[in-house]
Amino acid sequence: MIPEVPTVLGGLARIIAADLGAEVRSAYAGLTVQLTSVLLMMIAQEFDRAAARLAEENQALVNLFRDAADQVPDAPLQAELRAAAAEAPVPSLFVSELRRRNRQLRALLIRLHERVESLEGDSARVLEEKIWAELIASTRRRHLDLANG
Amino acid sequence: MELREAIARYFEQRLPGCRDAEVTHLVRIPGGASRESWSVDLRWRDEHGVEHQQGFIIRRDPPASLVKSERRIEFEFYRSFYGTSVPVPKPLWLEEEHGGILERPLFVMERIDGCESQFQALLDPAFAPFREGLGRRMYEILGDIATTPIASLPATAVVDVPRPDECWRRELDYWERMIDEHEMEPQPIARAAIRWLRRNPPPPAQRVTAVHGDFRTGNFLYRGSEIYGVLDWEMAHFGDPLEDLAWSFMKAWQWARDGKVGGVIDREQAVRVWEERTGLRADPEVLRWWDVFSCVKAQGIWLTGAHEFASGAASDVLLAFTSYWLINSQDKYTLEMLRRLP
Repeated sequence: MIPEVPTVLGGLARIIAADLGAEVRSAYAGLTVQLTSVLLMMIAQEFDRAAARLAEENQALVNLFRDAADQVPDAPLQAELRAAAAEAPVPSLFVSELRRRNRQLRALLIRLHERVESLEGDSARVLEEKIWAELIASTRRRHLDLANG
Repeated sequence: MELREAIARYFEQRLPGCRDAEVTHLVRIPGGASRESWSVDLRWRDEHGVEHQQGFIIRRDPPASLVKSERRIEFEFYRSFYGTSVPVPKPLWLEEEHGGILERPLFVMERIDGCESQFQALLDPAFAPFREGLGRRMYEILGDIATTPIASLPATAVVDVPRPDECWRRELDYWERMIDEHEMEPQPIARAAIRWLRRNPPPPAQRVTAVHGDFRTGNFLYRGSEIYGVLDWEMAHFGDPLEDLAWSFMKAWQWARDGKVGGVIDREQAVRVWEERTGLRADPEVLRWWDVFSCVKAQGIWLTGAHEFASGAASDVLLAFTSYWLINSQDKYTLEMLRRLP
């Protein structure tokens, strides 16, 4: 068995910070080494969970669009929401494929959010709260332990 | 030509009477989102054979950067404040042409020695006795920037001065454009913030002033509780002074995670110092508009850096680092400023 990617990246991060960092003399190179080490650790976390968080988010957006479609009065947007909700999940587990789908869905989410903000009524407000809840959830899915916040 | 040698030849051309110039120490200063900063120790003889030594800073354009800025604007803001109560290094020469001895456009300043700039030093327990005083000086100086009459400033020759009612829209339009041009995937939180900002515009600026554009701990030189040089004017412009105040408060710079601005001072105290110094009012609701705007602007900067790295236009690891370290965090701060976090 070969070491898993997060293990390797974490090991490289430690080597860079502890071993190479001690050899570096200039402040610029020192900062670059330090940043590279922390970056590798963040990438290690993202590598392990990227497919899972994208698949989860894509499904959450599809569910949201399914609920939202009936509440949006514009026929073209309604059709797009229904089409997005009906589209089969990406069969591939390649992160690049999941990201491509995620970009399409998040672009549609922006248009839906903007439209719902302009609608009157309690049901529009309920839908708007669902959108905000999804946006909050999206930052939790993307959270990195070593990020700024 | 090797960089040290090129720098020595450059100073021989620029310093009156300079001969036998030698770079005795050359260090690239870490950080810096927009330009390469080089610290130069130079030794030379004048036309009478008298030896001189002095430190200089060279700010040279990189191939690409986090911040799209004009070097002339930055240079003219240094010129605008040199010799005033807003301490800045003395600006010397601006070189705007490509292909000179130092290859890329640059400007040169005198170096201010004996100071610290890194925010990490502020968090050292040994620095604790100086934090409050330093925080006070930060906001006195920011107040001085906001009270400096702008009509005669050299920067007015290169930067438009907006009307009071144009300030917010001009900045928001600019940073929305930066996001349009550089986002590599949709940004639903930043877009929601932009819509909120347009639906809830602030009143016209109480006064149109110089705006530093990146005033925060980490961007000035300090020793103890005194500030000796305000740096990094690459995003300076004229506008609403509340923009600088809100930017300095942003959560991304609350390094100690204790709610203190820049790790040194409470927000309420900072506002009091600034209001006393300027005679202006920082209305909490108006300031909130600028808080949300700061999140959009910051996201524009992080997305620009990520784009430059991903496109291959730049290879500085800082750009990749900031995209992982800050883009999602900035979305969280935006949600917080929009009062959407439970």
